[in-house]
Amino acid sequence: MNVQEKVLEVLLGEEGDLFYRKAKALAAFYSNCPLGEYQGTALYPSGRIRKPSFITGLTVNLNELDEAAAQAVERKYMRPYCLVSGEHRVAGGMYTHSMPHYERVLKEGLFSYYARIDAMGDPSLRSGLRLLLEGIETYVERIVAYLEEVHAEERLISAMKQVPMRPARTLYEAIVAWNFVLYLDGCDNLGCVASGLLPYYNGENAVPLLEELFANLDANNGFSMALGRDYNPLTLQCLEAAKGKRRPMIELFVDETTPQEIWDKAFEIVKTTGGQPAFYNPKALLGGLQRRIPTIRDEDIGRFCGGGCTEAMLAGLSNVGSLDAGVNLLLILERCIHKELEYCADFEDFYRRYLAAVERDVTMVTEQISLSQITRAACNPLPMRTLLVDDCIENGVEYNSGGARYRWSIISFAGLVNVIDSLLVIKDFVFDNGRYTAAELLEKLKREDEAFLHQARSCSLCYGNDNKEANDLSHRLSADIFSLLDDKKPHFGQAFLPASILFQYQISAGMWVGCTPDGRAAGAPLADSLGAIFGKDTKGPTALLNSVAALDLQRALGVPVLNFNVTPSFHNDVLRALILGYMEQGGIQMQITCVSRELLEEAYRQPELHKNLIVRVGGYSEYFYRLSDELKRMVIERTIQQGV
Amino acid sequence: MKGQIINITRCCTDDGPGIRTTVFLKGCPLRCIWCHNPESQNTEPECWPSGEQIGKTVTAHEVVSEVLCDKTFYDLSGGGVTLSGGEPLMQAKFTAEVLRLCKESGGHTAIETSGCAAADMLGRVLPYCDLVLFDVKETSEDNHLLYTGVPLAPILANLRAIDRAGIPTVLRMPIIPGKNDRPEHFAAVKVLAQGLDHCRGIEIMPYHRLGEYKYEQLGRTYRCKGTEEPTAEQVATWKAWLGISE
Repeated sequence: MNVQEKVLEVLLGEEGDLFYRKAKALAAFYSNCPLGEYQGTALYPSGRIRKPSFITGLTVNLNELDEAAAQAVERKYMRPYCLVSGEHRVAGGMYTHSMPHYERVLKEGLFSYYARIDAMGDPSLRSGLRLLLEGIETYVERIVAYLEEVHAEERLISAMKQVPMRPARTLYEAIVAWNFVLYLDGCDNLGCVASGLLPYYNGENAVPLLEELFANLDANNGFSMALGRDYNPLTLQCLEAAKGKRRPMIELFVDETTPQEIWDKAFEIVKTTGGQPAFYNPKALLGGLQRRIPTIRDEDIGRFCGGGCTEAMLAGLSNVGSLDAGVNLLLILERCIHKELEYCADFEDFYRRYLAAVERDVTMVTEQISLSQITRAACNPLPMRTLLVDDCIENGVEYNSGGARYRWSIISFAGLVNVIDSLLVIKDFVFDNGRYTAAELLEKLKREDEAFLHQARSCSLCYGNDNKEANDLSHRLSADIFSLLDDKKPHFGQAFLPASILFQYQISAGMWVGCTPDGRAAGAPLADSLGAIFGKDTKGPTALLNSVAALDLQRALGVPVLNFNVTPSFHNDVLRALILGYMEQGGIQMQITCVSRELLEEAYRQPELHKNLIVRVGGYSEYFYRLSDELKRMVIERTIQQGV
Repeated sequence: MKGQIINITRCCTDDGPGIRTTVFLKGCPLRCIWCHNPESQNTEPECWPSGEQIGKTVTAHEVVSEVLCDKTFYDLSGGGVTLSGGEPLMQAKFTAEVLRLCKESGGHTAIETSGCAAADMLGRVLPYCDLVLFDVKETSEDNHLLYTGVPLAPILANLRAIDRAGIPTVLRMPIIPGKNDRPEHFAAVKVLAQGLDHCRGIEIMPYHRLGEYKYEQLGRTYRCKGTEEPTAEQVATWKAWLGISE
């Protein structure tokens, strides 16, 4: 019986409940799965692996099953649980990134988890997790035997005899364990590497090992790593190791006390590795999260790491719905224009009607998320995450049923900038200056009137130029929308957090929406971040940053992504002042792509010559050549701030 | 207090230290043959043949209110405001008022000037200046008159007055191939700088042709027509003459 058959036998059997069967199936997988060939690396496993799907927690690849078996698995396990309306799933619907508690495994060793598991009350969870842990133990033993057989590096063999089952004693063992746990969780996110490894650091040069760890994450299309304000020598080593890499996406926390050597290294990477690192504001983000969710302990807040693109999480402690929904604000506006604009007495009237429409959809979406969570808890328990995320074991509660210490749900608001510009045009053209009646504007939108769209795009009253009237409306609208989530809670969570994370869905979300008053053609993409509509921000970087900071960012803790594109001619001290100046005004996150338009154009024409060119897209970094044609064009068309 | 400006450009990084907002004032007493901003020469607002309005009348408070939008960035970078032009000393009262208001708010202040102004006009502005970017277009009396239309001596007198007032200066040399790229000119500027107590450095502003099209639009003769922009090697040589490292 091969591994697939063994796993299927458990999954399709009737023993125990769903959690138990999935845990046992995972154990069967780890006890029998083929081991990847050892390639002489310092870490093992390494490279791309066929992994159990970390989202469904299943251990089989449906594509490899015959039809009858696949249908049987689907009938039993693949119950769709995302009940969020299709139009409001911009960049995700009940999609959950995660990161395990690496540091606990390093410090305590997995053997110690048996005692924790044995103290659990629920017999199904207890026996399921025990089986899973035994499966992992077998997996480690199989790896050691295999590494001995192929005469792998001695230090790797002896490290794998120690970790992850026993506590790490050296930096090397700690990194070997970190790598192993990364693979257990499906290679999704690295968490807080520099601070987590610090207790084992003894002055070593860990850059080659970190490079290998990062390459393993990259090979499996993993995502992020946070470098917190508690800088240590490994912070610099992590930055050095990430140089030139697509992943992990680095989240570097900075403020006015950040040492010059950290800035220097960060800018060296910004200017050589497009889109890396992104910069985060500790005061606004971490302080804001603690104010929003007062149960977050002081000792936990430093474990912030945005999972996936950059969805706010606390590494190893949280179950975050990321992204549970992406509300398409421009779609709601389009409907509102078509249904209500003609009947509005003034701009205030229209604004209130639009906000009411947003509120209706947000309420619907939050209810859908809660229902989805209940369904998911019933149909998709996750044994591995229950094992590796605190406090599922201590709480005796499965991960998707509310076991993690912190639980929140992130809702991205897509098209906010398009809505701001659209409202400004409606205010200016229809209500203030009477250039068009509501009926005429509607007619021009329906006809996709190119002359009108040109006028709308050229409207001087727009977001991105630090115009007071535009800033006031931006603040008001974002506060009104983000605060709709203030008093709502998901079924299994402490809060809904607003965000602006588009991933690459700005294109598909735009396809839902016709012509809009911001001058956007029917079906064209939405804004890809909280930056201005390309080409409209004509007053330079400080004016743009002031405009973004005018938004009610303190509520958007999920987080609010800003793509900031600059030419390489900016001096480091100017970049530093721009980043800190934005943050001083409440800016939370800024991801810088530092590439000239000429280089992007050249890479578009000759991708084979620019395979290493990395750019930021809607929250994540990617090789430019790998982007779809539409995304490439979008990146090229962005306003690139010039060093004047 | 009202003045004539061409525009306000934010986040400039080449007109003094840090992140700056540069206010371009309208009106200049010089007529440099290489001038790339001919629209800045007349004091009054004017209309380009294209219909575009050049210049507008604004109050000092209006200017300062826009300048102060970026106060956060000035504070973090040691930046501030630079009044340029045109020639800011041509509107000395207005310039002084803008600088005074900016200084009151704690920002760094600078002017970029040709130095061509009456001593009392200069005297109005200097109390509110933290830095003067002083253009030295020529060091030969004859050439200065030939290329700029005004004599050199009063300009140098003003430079010394600025130095006596203890205000730091940076000497800026527009270098136009075939006109003032003589080694003697570089040597003379070096001597000039050495004679000042508060000179913070010399900068070269290599000739470029970005303004040439404006003359065509205005129907005026561009007297530097045909002048080639210097190569990077030429600029490096000039810097070497001054002892400026790359």
